[in-house]
Amino acid sequence: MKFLIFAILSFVTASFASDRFPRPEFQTGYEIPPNDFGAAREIIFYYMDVAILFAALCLASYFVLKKRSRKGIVGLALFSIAYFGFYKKGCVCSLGAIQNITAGLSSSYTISITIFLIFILPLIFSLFFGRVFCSGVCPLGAVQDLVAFKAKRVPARLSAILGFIPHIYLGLTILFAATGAGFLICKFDPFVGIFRLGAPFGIVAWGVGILILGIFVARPYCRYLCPYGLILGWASAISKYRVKVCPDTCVNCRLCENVCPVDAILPPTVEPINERRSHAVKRLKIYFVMLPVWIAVFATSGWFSADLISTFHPDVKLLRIIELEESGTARTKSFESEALRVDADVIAVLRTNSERAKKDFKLGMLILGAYLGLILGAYLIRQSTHKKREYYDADPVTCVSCGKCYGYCPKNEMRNAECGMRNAELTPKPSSIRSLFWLLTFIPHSEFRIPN
Amino acid sequence: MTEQPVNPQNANDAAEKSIPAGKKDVDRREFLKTACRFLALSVAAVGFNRLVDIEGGERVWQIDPKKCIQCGRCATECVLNPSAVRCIHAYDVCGYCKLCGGYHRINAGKLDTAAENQVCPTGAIVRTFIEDPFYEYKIIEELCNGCGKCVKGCTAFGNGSLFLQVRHHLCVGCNECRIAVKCPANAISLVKSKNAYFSPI
Repeated sequence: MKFLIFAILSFVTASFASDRFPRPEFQTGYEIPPNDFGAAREIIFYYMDVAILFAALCLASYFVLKKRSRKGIVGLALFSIAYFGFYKKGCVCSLGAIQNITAGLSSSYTISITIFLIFILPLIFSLFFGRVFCSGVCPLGAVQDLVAFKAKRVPARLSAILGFIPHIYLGLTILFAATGAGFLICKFDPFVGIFRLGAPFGIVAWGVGILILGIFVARPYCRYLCPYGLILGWASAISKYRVKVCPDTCVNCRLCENVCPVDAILPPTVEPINERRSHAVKRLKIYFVMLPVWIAVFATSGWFSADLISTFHPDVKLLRIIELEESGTARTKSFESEALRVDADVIAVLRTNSERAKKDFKLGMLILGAYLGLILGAYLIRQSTHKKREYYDADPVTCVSCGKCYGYCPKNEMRNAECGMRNAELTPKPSSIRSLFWLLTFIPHSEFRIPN
Repeated sequence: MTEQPVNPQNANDAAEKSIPAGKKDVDRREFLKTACRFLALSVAAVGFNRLVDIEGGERVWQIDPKKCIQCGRCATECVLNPSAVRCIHAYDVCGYCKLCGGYHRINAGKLDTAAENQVCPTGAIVRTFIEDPFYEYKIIEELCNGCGKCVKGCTAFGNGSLFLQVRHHLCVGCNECRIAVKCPANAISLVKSKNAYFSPI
């Protein structure tokens, strides 16, 4: 620490301060007080946060899969709100770490080991145990989970449409983080104002609004906004263990379906289907042909909307301000141009940077558009495929492992640990062709309901 | 659909179901899932290798005093109220002036400690007489709101011993510092914690 202060002082004296007045030579024996630069947070605390995250994930997995206990999950949720929410004040969270990782991949931005672990640990747990992070570890999910008193069912069609928002949000987040235009998830984090007990009015209002909505629509942020939930869902789709309704003890009482706050319990399919097979096959063929069309259409519209979106990039914005000031339209000079100490060279650099940002946005929006086209195509294909189910089951992709169904299942008392842990399909096996495009069908996230 | 003949595939499935419990039954989809899991884990491992800077330690938000133009946004944009940015006094650089640009207003009537003559809106600077003509200036951190008015005065007329800095024990370490977003001079950046309070240049 002494060395640090010395080094800083030598720096400050050498290059930053202007020695207009010589240092006084005191006659009265006055000693110059030491500088108080404050102490940085000890590194050990950063590692402790990661260790607590890991422990919480282990506990969540235990409560969700082995114990099948909603009470344990609620207890953990309360702890997470207190620790990750109010104590750590929400940052850095796994959701936001998406942006750090993206920035690390696309620029010289380097990330520390703890941020990487905060990003990857919930995903690794999701790969093996399903979305246990969402159940009671994520403070955002936990807050919403505890307020959902009067959760109503969201109409399937509306839910499917709203289900596209996270894809757009994830895409834009990655695009913004990759081009250096800012961290969208942090900007629109609903609960950060609540966890910090004070923030600008807009942020608090947004958080309170989501919470009030969350009373009637369970976990609105998790289902219709959260970009990290998408990635967790993909990992959960290939998970080794997950929340299951035990097919060997299920009595088809549909209590779990009624109580599931996120509509993730899939009912048994109605057999036979009231649709001629040839008709269904024809529709599926059309959807496969349409897939590249969707991709092309969305990619093109992405390309053309890039200019509009790129105006959010700071370089593009600043160049606009400077151009306005130079043309004399703007009345006052901004702090930004004062800081830039406007001269021709700086503006030339800014202009190049702005052009580069615009180009990056063009490419990014093209890819984002293509991705959204793929999502739409895959969603329609999924709508047209039929997976036979004889019993109720939890959808591995959308189930947030909240454990509400455990308390309602008449057979949960048997606590069939085997069932909770084992993931092997006891329902009829999929045909070979479906296995091939199964990977495609879980990408869109929302489960189809067959129109009867 | 009702008259659809029995699918031979389903018949196979039924036969497979009756495999004795001890025998391992590897299903096509399970195999695919396992393969995907391993793929995902290896991507994570590669990502760790490529992205993580282990030696760098943690990152903290810091202001580069050289870039700072004392616009005053540090006081208003921080998620905390009052802001985590406070003024720091480097005593070694201070000239201990009687007329202090960081303490007195430009049109101050008298060079005394009267409130109407002070730059600081919260009265966070304490002026103590030491010996003629030297005065010590001390920042009371609890009162400082990080507006940077004193810094502006000191940088313009004095040695520049006052500067704004993000205080570690106050900063909550947002993933994206709100002041950094609004800073007109891009003076705020993430600095490796072992280099904290260094200028990143």
